[in-house]
Amino acid sequence: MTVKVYIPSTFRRLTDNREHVEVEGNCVADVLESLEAAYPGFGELVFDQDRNVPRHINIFVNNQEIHDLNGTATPVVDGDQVAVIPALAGGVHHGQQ
Amino acid sequence: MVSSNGTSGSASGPASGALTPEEVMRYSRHIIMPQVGSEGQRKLRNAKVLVVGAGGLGGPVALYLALAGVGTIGITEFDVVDLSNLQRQILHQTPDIDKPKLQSAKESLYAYNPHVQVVEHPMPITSDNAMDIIPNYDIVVNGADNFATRYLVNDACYLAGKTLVDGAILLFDGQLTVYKPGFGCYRCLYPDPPPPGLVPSCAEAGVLGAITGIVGSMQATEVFKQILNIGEPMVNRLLLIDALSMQFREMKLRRDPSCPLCGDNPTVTELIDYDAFCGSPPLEMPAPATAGASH
Repeated sequence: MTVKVYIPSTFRRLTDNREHVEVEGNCVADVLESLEAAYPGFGELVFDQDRNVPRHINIFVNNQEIHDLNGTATPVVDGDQVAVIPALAGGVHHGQQ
Repeated sequence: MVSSNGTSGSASGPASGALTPEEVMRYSRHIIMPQVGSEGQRKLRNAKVLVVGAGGLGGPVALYLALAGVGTIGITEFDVVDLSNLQRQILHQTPDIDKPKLQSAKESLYAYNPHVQVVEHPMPITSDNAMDIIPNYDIVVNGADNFATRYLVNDACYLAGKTLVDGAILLFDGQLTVYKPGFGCYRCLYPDPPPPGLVPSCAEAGVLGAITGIVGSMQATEVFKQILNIGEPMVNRLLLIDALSMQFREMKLRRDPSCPLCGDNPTVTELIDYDAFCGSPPLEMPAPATAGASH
């Protein structure tokens, strides 16, 4: 299955500044692994040491959070839209924006 | 006069009653709309809104609240204006460099509208003072630039039963949502903060100045909708703003039954040590008129 993945600008440095990339997979876990294989460094963002998706990153399939579906086992089909969205706060400074 | 909880002034708000002729003229473009009217304008005047931070996001939020005549605008801020702020922080101008941002913000807001009351909270919002400050307001708007403050404000708003209008920015991206107690919270969306240093700051990665205006204006819009009880609030919805493609994507959010704060069996029932939770360094207040940048 070929799915279209939306890459936010915070991750786009890893995808040659491409907003969307197309990868293969039958489920969300496959999609993430395909992204890792195609774009070096991506795996470090979307997998923690135990190969789980870190809890500051949300994966959406067709605009629905995968926790509401079947997690990384959520199946995908041709044409599905996947988005990988990190928490944003701006940063590490302890003041206020 | 600054009280022990860091509050300068009070959140009691301007007097209620009929709109004055000057107010009717000033707010006529709002009042003429049936969704606002005189009654709505009085609701705005009686509203008390807390803005966390007077920088990139808090600036446009506070500005539009003031322009619209939101009667009481509280601001928490302890930083000073830095030259690098002026690319995006619209409440501050070149002559304000080295001034406390709170002072600069207050002067700007009063210049735009002397009828509103700006309540100063000249210190960082912390676990020690959040529950002294937040319950005094109807709605809270988050413009914090760090995860520790974001989790703190989220938790305090939920525990105080206050709606939180949340916005975040980095590079060309923005995020917007509204957390209403009982309908999910920041912890439902992001249960854990990223490891320290993983998500770059605006100083490290950059931020488009205008995206702060886009997201901040949207946050102010959500505040108005809450006060006026109109439209469809961004509750259970996350708006992703991509300024490069100028695409807006809406994601569905939900309350997580296993959320430690607002879930079925909560374990976070009071404010915690958010620096420890986020692994961030201890908070250091900058010395007045000397300290560094925010974003």
